[in-house]
Amino acid sequence: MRAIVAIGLLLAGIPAVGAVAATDSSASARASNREVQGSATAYQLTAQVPARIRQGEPASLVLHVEKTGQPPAGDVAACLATAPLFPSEEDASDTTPALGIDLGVGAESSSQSGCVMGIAGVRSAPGAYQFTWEPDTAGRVNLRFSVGDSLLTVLVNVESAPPSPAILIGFVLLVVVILSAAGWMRHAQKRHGGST
Amino acid sequence: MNLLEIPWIKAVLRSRLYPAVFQWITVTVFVVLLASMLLGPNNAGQNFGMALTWRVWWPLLPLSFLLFGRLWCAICPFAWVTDRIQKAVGVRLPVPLILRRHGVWMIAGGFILVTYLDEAWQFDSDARRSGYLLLALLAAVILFGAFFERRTFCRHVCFIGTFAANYGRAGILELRANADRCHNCVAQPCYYGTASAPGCPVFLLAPKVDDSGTCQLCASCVKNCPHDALRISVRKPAAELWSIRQPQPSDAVLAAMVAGVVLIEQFAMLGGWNRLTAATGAMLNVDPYVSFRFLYGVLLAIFIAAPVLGLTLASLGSQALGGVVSFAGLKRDFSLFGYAVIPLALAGHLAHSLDRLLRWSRAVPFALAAMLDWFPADNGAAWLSRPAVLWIEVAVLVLGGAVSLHVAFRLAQRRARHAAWAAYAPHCLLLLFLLAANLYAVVAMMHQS
Repeated sequence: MRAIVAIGLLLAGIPAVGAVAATDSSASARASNREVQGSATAYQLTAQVPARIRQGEPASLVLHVEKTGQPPAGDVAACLATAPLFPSEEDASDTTPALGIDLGVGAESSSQSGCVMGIAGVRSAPGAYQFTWEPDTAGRVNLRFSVGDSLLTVLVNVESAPPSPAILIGFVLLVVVILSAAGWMRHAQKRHGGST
Repeated sequence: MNLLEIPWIKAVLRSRLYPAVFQWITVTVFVVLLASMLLGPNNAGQNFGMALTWRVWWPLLPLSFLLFGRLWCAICPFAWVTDRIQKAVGVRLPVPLILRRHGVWMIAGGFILVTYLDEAWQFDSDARRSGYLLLALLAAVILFGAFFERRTFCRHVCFIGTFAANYGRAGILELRANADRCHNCVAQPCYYGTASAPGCPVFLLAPKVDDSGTCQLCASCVKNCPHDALRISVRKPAAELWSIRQPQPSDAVLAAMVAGVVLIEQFAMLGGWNRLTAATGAMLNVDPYVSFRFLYGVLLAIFIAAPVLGLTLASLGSQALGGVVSFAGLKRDFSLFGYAVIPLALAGHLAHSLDRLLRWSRAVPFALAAMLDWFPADNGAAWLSRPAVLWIEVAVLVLGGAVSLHVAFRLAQRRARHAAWAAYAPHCLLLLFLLAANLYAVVAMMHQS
């Protein structure tokens, strides 16, 4: 049985999908090649994740849930969530809900309640899967996918998005307009002053 | 003790290089910070600009106002930008009346907005957003520098004025003029300037200066005064608070507001904060996760309003215990006793900042090294353990609370010499309540860690 689940992620960012990671249900795999597979007690999970997650950009994750002998369910479920930024250890001990998500104390691992969903057509499936975030202090984040007691952990590097060109251009234009207007007014003032 | 009687200090302050040298340094650092925020790693702990801004500069700022008055404002890079823009294209329009009369509320609004963005939008955790905030401030500075005279932005708009003025009043430095020497001065070079230096950038006439809330200690007046009438003195901290000649309701509101902001920042770090958010969401019938930003706005408004309301009620209590209740009396007591809140607000602000300064500023050298590609950033450990910092926070809060109680008593004596205790009691209760709330947050944090 195979269910393909697409997750549209509004992390504070993510770009192109290109890497795949998978692991077995209980042991977490640090996927440097972005593709890890493992057998699950009940399910085999394979995740397609971006090689890097960029803060401030959308990202998509794909989770394949497979169970031997069962036909693929063929349903795609999309899940949108806003991911926290996991800036540093300082925030790891901060229980402030970040962007609406309570990161909890310490490990800052938490379920994304908005992403718990049923996997349609998966017979005898647990009925829901979820993923959690677990940041470390090196700007990386552990994505944990779970279906029932099957668990997959993928380590993703969190990188920085470039500054918004719109904001930078807007700032420069604003400054140019201000300086031009002021320069023109000063010029007019001087002319006026000179003529009197 | 007049610092201007010490020759080398006087020479430094009269030099053209003061405060220019410090401004050049801060402007250089500012450029690096801004570039780092916009182009460096987004991770706050690994970004040099973020680490230096939020873990060193921001926590040190209230302390600097206590120790050096508003000296920071004199060497602030925005002041330098204002001066340069004005020199190049400045129209030098007079400050609009609305700003002169109500600018303080713009300052307060800016402070509330920045607090909100910080917590609800994580501006202090996201390098890009912090960079955009600096760009927005820079644009405002350029706008005001281009069109209005002197440092209108610094005096009437900058959100830091919310606490800078009040902390400056509690500080240990004061600049005053010798009125006897100013008596016959017609030219008023301290205000209008001379060839040596421009006039006061924040529109002060030295002989009229009777509090330390506005003066930036830029020493322009020291350079300009031909009569040697200025003195810069070291004084007892908080002494000015009970001798303010014209108490202003706006100062009281700002002091109470800062106390509320400090409290919400402390409480937001507690485990119970999530329950509070959820309960507020349930009350307003909104999902606490989806609508967190809205709920934070609601809670921020409540936390800000509570001390202001408390001060109003305490002032009403003072009136009632004195036997006469009137609106004018209420306004007078509110304005007067607002100054008693300042030391406690400052202590709370300092205590809250200490966590960043004494623990997480360790990231700064590592982030700098990473920026220069020396070795990878490592912000994995703090300078001090959390319990150690929390004990220091308790000590700071207790000291601040004690000073606030003392100031309130001196103000009560000033307000009603023969019924001082009646005037004092309600404000004493309010201050004790605020102190207890701050201490509760710190102690709860101790248990949490």
